[in-house]
Amino acid sequence: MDVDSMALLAILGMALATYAVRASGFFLVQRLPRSRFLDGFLHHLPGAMFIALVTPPVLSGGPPTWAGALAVVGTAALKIPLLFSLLAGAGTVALLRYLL
Amino acid sequence: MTVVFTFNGLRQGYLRTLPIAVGVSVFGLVYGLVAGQKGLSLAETMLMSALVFAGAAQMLALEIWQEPVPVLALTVAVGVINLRYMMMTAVLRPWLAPVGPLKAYGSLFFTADENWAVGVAEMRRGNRDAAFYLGTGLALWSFWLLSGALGRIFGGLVSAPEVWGLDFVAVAVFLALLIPMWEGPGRNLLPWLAAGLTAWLLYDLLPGTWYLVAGGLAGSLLGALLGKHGEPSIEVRS
Repeated sequence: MDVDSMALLAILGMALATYAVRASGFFLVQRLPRSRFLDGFLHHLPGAMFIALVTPPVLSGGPPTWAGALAVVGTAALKIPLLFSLLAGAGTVALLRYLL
Repeated sequence: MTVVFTFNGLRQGYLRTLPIAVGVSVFGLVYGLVAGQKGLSLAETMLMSALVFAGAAQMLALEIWQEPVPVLALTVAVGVINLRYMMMTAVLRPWLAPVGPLKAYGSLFFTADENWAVGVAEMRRGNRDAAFYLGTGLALWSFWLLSGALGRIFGGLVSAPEVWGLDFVAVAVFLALLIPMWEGPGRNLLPWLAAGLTAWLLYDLLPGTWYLVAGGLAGSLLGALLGKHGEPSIEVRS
């Protein structure tokens, strides 16, 4: 188990920076005065974040990814459990990549 | 409304996140493989996964990694690429504010995109067991650590995971969790369009994960400005 001292320092630095970011959002929001605007911002954040995460990879993914995305959205809309939604999506993508 | 923190909740969160953790393992294998190529030892590879626990940031770190190790550049770059976590953990207030600082700040360590998504979706569904979040984080963390180590050890043996469509799982998670968040066009259409368009336009223009920060901000700020949103599902008096 060899760990270089500079590598260790870098890893600790990165870990500290990442944890500071994680903790600070929660820390700050507890100290901000409640307002309708802040509640609205926090309410809309998850959906906006999910959209921002999926839009570039789905749009640039090509037909197999588009079909996979449809399969996931379709099964999720039918309230099928998450696991099966993921399987349907990954299966569709794999199948179309094989066929195309 | 009381928020609890039980082992059963933790277990539930862990199990719910398992299939996603398996999908994310594909990226863990790639991370381990690249870490080996960059000259990191197995111990260093695992230590970074255990302590940093942020996929995109760790890949970026390996990109910058060289001898001598640029400690300050790595610290700053990783902090910046993870700035989105600041907004994300703020959303967890209804669950984490009532359980006390030890549980809250302990749980917050286990925040990555995928498990946060599962946790927030469950919180919005009305689950009042805050330990669910810690469970989602532990599931992702354990698989991330293990897959990184396997990638480091068996780097050469990893064969094209895209054949199995496994690389799509990371995207599929967010797509599937978006569906129950849809509250109708009046509330969501414009914010979601703003988020998607901003992210799409900035994806190639900005380095790192800035497109996520910008897209998330654009959507939620527009949503707040339009003012069309219901009450939070768990009301917390602080």
